[in-house]
Order: sequence, then structure tokens, then C-alpha cells
Amino acid sequence: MRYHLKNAISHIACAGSASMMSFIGISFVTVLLATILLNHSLILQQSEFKSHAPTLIAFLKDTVNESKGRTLVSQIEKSGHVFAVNYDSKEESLARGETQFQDLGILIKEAFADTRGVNPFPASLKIYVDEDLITRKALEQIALDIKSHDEIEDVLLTGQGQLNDRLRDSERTTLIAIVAAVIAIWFVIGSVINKTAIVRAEEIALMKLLGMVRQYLLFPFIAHGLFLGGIGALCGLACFYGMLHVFKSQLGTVGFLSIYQSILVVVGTMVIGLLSGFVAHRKCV
Amino acid sequence: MIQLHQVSFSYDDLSVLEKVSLRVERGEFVFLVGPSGSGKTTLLRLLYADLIPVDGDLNVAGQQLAMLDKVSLPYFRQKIGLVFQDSKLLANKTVQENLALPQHLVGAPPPTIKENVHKLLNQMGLLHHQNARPTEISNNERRRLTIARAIINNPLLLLADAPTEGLDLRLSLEVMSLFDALNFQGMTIFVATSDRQLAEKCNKRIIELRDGGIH
Repeated sequence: MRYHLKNAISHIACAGSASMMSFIGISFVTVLLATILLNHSLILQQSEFKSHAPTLIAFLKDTVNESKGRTLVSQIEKSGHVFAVNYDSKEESLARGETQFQDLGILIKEAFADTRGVNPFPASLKIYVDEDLITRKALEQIALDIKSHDEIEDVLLTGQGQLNDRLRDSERTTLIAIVAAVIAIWFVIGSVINKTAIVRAEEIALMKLLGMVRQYLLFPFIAHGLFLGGIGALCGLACFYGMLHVFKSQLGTVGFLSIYQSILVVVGTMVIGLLSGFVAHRKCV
Repeated sequence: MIQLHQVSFSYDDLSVLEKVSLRVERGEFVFLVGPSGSGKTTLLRLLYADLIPVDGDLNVAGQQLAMLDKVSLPYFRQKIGLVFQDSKLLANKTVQENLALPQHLVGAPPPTIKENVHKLLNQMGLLHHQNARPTEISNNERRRLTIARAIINNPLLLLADAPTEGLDLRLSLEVMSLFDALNFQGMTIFVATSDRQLAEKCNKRIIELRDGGIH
């Protein structure tokens, strides 16, 4: 084992400066991939955080009483894509306002009781739409349809639909980035291993004449791929962490990739290195 | 040990060997002599399956060479010791690493490798150079190292291509006496050389290769 390790280290050393260049290349790809993965994670996090919020909030006119409001609820529930509508009465809104804004809420509530002017906490309908099936454009159309009712003062899109669109875009971008990263890393590692095989061509030819079986050089080739992939990905993640730290004031409280994602990036790159080493071995030996 | 039957070989249009037939028995010591460019190296390369004949049958160390495939070829070569004309020593490895290489290739255990390398280095007078690079030792020492590497796995057959090239007569006879000792132990020796005088001095069987055929 000690000899095979020594053999693998000597094999890796043959690559010389090409290994250094490959570390830079793999690190660069890893930084880009980590950025896209982090962006996707943040959008996913926001989306999950908002998943329980209603898609639309329709504010009723102050003149609409509770029975009219509830009739409107059953009308809206019948339209397509809307799977739930919750009625939020004036009293409930006022009470929530009081809890939410504390002293200010009490002040607003008392002012409303005195003046009976414009209600800052009107009755509203919380409308839940199956957003996975519809686009942002369709959601806006639903909002317009609801707004066309006489009882509705205004309709608010909570941004949930927009977030889902961004999530879908981000999923596509992340997938493309992963495929591109796999191709780039495969190319970089494959080139370095092939270059090493060219450097050692004379030695490999001699060993073949002396009776070398093909498996003899399998370990150095695979170890080379694992080494390039592993160190390259770790360097990339370290650079990414450093960049996040340097631009902390501009980025705010953006966290790092999760442990699971970090391990996946390193192990994934090592697996590409392993396969690349295996293919190069079959080609060169 | 070696059987060639009507073997022909050519490099593109240049015919090098034409219907060559010869037989070397197990335990024999044979010289293949001929002028430079007569096809001695080509014949040796055919014997260790580095080249494929255009025509004819070759049987070496009990192996029909036409039947060799990628899997069995290394195991066949492990039975043969090779002394190359140009030494083919690895410049980036030390003397002892060069010598240990064939042992590693056959998967010998490390203590055995250490013992065999030490024994051979001592026998060849190279022990004091064990950590030197091949470029740091003399031509004669490089020759001895090449021979040591060829015999470290105790091959059935030793194929030596111009093993005394560049050596003076005294050193050449030293190498031949070493081969003689190996032959005495039962190893079949097949030496290709252009030095006919040396071959005659050794008083062994001589096969002459000239104009693409055996004479």
C-alpha cells in the first residue's frame, strides 16, 4: 500500500504546474456553482417561509357588511385555481392591528372609533391559489377578475407568485450550471491526467515491456483524479467563503452553503475526478 | 524455449526478416550475430511480442505468440528478462528503484523486494550507488544495472540486445561471464550482438543473421 501511495504521489507530481492550473480552473467553476447554489437556496428559503401566506389579499370596501362579504367568499371560491378563501372581519383586523402594532395599534383603533372615518384595518379576503400550476401573468389576471367585483376596494399580490417564478427560473439556472460545471471539471481533470500520461509515456511503455498489467497504474490515475477534484473543490469553497466574508457589509447576513451542499460539491467533484481518471487510464494505458 | 517457423517481418515496404526458422532449447546459450541493421533487434522484439510478424509462427517460453491477447501479454513478458540496447533506465528514479520496478510489477511483497534488490546490487557491485540516479553512474554500471533489472524476477529466458555495446573487451567478458553463470543456473540466454569476435571467444552456439535470413 505504501508503495502504491508513493507511486500515486510520484504520478501526481509528474503533472507539475498543470495541477496548479487545474486547481485554479476547478476553484473558479466551484465558486460560480456555489454562488448559483446559494442564490437558489435563498430563494427556496424565502419561498418556504412565505408558503403559508395567502397569494392574494382582497380588501373589502368599508360599506360591505359581513354577510355580503361571506357571499363574495363563496363566489370567489367557485372560480378556477382558487382553492381557499378566508374571510377576515373588520373586528379581527382591528384586534390584530392592536396586537401587531401595540400602542400605535391602540391609538389607531381609538381614533377610528372616534371619527368613524377611513378604516385603516378593513375587512379582507385571504385568497389561496394553487400557484404551482399557474404563472405570474395568470395570477395577475385572477387579481383583476377579483377586483372587478363592486365590493372589493383593492387587491394585493403578496409577491408569492413572483417568488415562485423566480424559484422556477433559479431551478433551471442551477440545473444548467451543474451540467456546465460537470463538463468543465471533467474537461480540466481529463486534460491534466492525459498530460501526465504523455509525460510518463516513455515510462509506461517500458513498464509494459517489463510485464506491467493494466491494473498496476489504475490506482495512480484514479488517485490523481480524486486529488485534483477534491483539492480543487475545497479551494473553490474556501475562496467562496473568503469572498462572502470580504463582501459581508455589502451582502448583509447571507449565510454559507449548508454542510450537505458543501459535502455534495466536494464529493461530486471527486467522483468526476475518479471517473475522469478511470477513462484516462483506459485510454492511455 | 524459442521456436520460429517461417517468420517474416517488414516495416511497410522494407522487408527485414524473410522466412526465418530457428530453434533454441531450454537452458541453451545462443549468440545471434549480424551486422548493424541486419534485423537482430527486430527479431528480439518479435520474441517479446513487441512486434507482430507478417507471416509465420512464433513460440516463446511455451507460449504461441499469435494466441496472446491484451490480458495474457503482461504475464508472458513477466517470464522473460529483457536487456535493451539503449538500457531504458528511468532517469527520475534511483538505481534501487529502477531495479525494484520489475518486482513491483509482479506484485512481490516488499520484504522480498528489499532483499532481492540488496542481493543483486551487491552482486553487481552497485550497492554504493543505490541512491544515485542512472545519469550519475558510468556506462558500465548502467549496463550492469540493466542486466540486474532483467534477471531480478528469475526469468526463464533472457533476451539481451547488444548488452556489451560501449564496453571494452575486459568489461564485455565480465558481462559474458555473468551470463554464463546465469546459464549455468538453468536460464536460457539469447544474446544479439554485432561483435562476432566476442561471441566466438565465449565458445557458444552462434546463429548468424544476414540479408533477412539465418545462415
